[in-house]
Amino acid sequence: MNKFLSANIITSTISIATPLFIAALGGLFNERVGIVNVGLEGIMLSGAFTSAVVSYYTGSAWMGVVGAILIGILLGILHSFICIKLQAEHVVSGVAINILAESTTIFLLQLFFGNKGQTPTVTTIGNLGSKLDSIPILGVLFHNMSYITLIGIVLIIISHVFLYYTKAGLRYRSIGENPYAAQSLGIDVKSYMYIGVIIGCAMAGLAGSYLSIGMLNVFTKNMTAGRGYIALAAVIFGRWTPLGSLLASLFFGYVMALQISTQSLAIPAQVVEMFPYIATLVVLTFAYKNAKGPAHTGRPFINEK
Amino acid sequence: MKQGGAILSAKEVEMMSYALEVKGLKKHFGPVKANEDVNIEVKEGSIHAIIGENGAGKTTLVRNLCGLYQPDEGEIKLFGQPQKFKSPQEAIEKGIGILHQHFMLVDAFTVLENILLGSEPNSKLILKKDLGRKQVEKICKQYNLEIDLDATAGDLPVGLQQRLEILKILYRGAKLIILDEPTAVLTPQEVNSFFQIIRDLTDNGCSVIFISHKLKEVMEISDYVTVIRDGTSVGTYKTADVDEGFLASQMIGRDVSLEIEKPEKKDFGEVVLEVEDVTTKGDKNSQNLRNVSFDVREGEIFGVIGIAGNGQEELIESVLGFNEIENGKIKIFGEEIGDKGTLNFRERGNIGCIPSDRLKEGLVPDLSVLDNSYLGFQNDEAILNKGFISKAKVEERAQEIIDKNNVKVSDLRTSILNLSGGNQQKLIIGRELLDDPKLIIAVQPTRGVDIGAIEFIYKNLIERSQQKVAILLVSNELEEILSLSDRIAVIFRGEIMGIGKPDDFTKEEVGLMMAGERLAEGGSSHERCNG
Amino acid sequence: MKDVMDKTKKVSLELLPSLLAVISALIVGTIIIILIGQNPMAAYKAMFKGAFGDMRAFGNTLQRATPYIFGALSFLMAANGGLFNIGIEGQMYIGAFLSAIIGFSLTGVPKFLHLPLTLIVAMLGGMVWACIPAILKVKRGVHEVIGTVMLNYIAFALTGYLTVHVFHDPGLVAQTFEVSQSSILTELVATSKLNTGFIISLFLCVGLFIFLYYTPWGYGIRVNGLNSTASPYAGINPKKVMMASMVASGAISGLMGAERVLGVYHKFIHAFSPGYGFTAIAVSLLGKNHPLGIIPAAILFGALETGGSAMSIQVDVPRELGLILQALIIVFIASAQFINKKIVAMNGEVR
Repeated sequence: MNKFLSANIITSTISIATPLFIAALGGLFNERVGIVNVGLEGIMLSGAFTSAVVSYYTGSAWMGVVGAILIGILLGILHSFICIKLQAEHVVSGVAINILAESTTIFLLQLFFGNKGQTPTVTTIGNLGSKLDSIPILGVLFHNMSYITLIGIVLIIISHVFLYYTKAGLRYRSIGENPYAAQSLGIDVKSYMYIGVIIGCAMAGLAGSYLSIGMLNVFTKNMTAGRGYIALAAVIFGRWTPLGSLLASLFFGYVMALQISTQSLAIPAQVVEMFPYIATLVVLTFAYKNAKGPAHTGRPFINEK
Repeated sequence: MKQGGAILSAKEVEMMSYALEVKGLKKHFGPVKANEDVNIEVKEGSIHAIIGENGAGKTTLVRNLCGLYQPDEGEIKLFGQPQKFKSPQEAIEKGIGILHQHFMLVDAFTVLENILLGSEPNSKLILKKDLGRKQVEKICKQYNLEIDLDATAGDLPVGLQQRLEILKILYRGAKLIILDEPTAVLTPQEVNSFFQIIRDLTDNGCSVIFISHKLKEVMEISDYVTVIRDGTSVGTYKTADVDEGFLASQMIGRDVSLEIEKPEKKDFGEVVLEVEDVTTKGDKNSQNLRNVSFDVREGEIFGVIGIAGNGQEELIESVLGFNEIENGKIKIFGEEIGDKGTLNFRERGNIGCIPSDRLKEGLVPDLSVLDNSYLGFQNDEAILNKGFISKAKVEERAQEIIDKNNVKVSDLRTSILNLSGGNQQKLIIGRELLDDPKLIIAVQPTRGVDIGAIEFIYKNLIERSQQKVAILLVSNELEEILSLSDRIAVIFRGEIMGIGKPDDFTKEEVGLMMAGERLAEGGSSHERCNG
Repeated sequence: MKDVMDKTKKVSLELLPSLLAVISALIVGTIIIILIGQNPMAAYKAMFKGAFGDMRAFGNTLQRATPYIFGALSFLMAANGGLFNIGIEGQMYIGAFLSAIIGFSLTGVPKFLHLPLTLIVAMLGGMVWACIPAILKVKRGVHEVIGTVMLNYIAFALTGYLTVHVFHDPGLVAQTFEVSQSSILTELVATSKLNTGFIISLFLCVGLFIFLYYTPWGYGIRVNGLNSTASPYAGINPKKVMMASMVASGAISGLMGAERVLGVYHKFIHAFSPGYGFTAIAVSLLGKNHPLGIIPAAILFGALETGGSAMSIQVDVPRELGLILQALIIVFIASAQFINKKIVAMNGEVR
């Protein structure tokens, strides 16, 4: 039993899941308002890079976090402008962001540090340590948990409350389903869309920061390694809900953690890599009745006025 | 047949208080006069119907009233107060509620969520569902509307979805409710419950505007009726003072009378198109064909007339082989077309088709005039050279089409959108008729086309019929059908109400058939047909 | 004379978004170079020379352009049929891997048999991989963007697994055995790795051009992509045509992978693609989804890669500038799509 649920594995799971569920939360905020965002990968990478660089130059990891969020907001403005104002294909914009992020980060890496592969080591966010030991039972879990993970969990809770218990949340969800209905009821669809995309991308940036200043203490080129796409899978697998995204990410993270720590299980790394995608496809194909997500996602909102 | 009662007497006018007064409403979209000088007065607490054909301007009028459009000219008074709605939100606040023809529901939300969306009960941040629930339940009780507030909107049957839309309106305190073609999607049973709901609404002090082109229902439920034709209000009547035949004749028909010389025809030849007891079972319930039978012979122009949306689409699609026939047979040139819905209809013989919507069905807007000139004929030897499309041959053919049909176009390579509607139509007709087809299917051939082009098209069709071509003509224009056709059939809800020579019926009788009444043998007494 | 003027005007208007995108990217690039304290003119000059300066450079550029030609053709085949194929990357990996397998598992087979066989298998692989999301969509309502994105990654990981654990050429690099000589696409320009696959791609461009614009089937595909409502009235079967264009698209993606393996690497290398399948989408847009138009677009992208490398040797500007320029062009061309809509609206309807 211990082999599958050792403290090591739990810590690993949470660590692997963190960038996933935070990025997934960002992705779902985009989709819930009708915008497809395959650029999560690029935004995460940009966030990872920015937080490492800022942390390096300021010596403060928290400033790094702020930097990552800011770059997320910037890219969110770009994506929302292209998708909403110019009504271009969402996927193309996302692809553009990914390519831009990849090339720009390497370019700047060379420029700032004269190094193609990675930054020098930087200050990290650090773990909670014994700060929350007072919480019964769960207190132990927080020992090795990064601050960013905690922020992420708080964001999940806030998002859940927002989407399902507030006025604005109801309206927010309606836009991804049927923006015309929302408009006919006097809701300012465009504003929600812009704000939603920008906030979602900010979260993706935050998710990226965990990679360079949470999990590791360095930025290496292309370090996202497809996590942005796994996050997309998590959104779908988690049925476009905050809690679902968290659970899906934990599930994916668990499988990956298992593979890393238990060599005797001998599941090759690549199979584990495939797992989230196959799992998502299987679930989409066989289990969900109408797993299409918010009904209007990906389609342009044409303002008849 | 009853007529008149057209103008409400001055005394009656004085005594009323109006929910809505519309004076001189005008809304143009460029050259298109969607609404021109519309005048309507809706008495408080009444059920007021607005009828008109598709494209007559009803939808534009509705959108002007609910704040989606702003009228170019004219005055709107709501409960005596002049109003200028800049947005749907404003109209909602002032007490207008619209039941759209196409529901504006969030399928994934519950009934309650759909009702509350956008007008959630007063609070800063939190969604007060319980408070909202209580408010909605009160309304349900007041208006006698039963519905499960926790059901998922997308799973509800159409009748209940409509009820949900009505609740949305009532929840926002609407006092004037506009229903846009509400019964289009309902079964006959649902229609009855729906009418009861409307009566309950007015009993509770609401005023209702009922927009429709279904004359029977209008007769049954409304107190007053206004006819809209060609963007203008033609007259307002007390429903009790008129009947369907009169309304039908007011709704349809162009004011333009064209001189059509129809030469005497003696013999028609072989049967080219045979429709035998055809019934279809598509999704659009009200449009399905029911035991439709008729045939079209060589040299004959067979006209099918009906109010739009009564099965003409199904009929054309069945004849062209686009959909499956549940029962019956269709034979073209003696061969059954079978149920291979995907077979190219042109392979069945020399057939030309002028579809009802030229930009959606007859042309590809993004392609040039040249490329559109052989749409449907891309497999023809006439434009191919060893299997490849020959630019030379295409140009030659295109030029022939243009010359023979007087199509005004400066450059063949320009986008088809640069042509006027009439010229686009002429291009389509020229294309379809170039190979001298033996069967022509023409649907609304003169819709949106200028006078000159109309005359040309009529002349063309008559000439062809003299060359022993069989022509199936489907149109909403009564004049057109009556003057061109050798025989006509009236279609209503997918059924043929009557077939005969144009001279066999009076215009009013045709109108009645279009409204769903069958003529008894001998013609004088009218029998109602079962819905 | 007016005719020529009109035609020139029309063609220029058509090319406007693409030209604007490239020029805008170059302007931003100039700004970046200035910001890092270098001379833009020198940088661009070095870039140009690096891309087109001599035979070898040009050969390199064309070799780099080849996957973009194939990829753009794949995308435009689907696009002209009305579909959005973002699964090109995955289909390419499958085609590449299969070509490697057929390549190294057969020996002693004459080239005129071995090579075509390899290419055909690669195309079949791409076709199958393209059909999966199509079938999932039709049968199970799985959204095609989701389906293709998932399958991209599955292809990537699957081929990776097979490369590392099954067909691994012993050593540190994650690559398969080398393919037999009889399946190699001959190199055209020494050391550039430009191979006969490039010639194939050009033939494919011309072939598809003729197909789409001069055959009844191509006409049918285009009509269906532009206005599928008119298809039945024009004797075109929408479903058949859509499937056909998707299948063709998949086949071309498979070929794209095969060229890399058989012509450049001579083996399958795990993760060899820097995202060709995605960048190719932008190349296609830049070339207006036209089989001939994408050729200059692909060459431009190839030039940015080789030029970038050469430039970084001459001037102190990181070679990634070339990639950044690519990315900027992509952002701009994605944004510029609306210009076409504006142009149509401007020409208006003459009633």
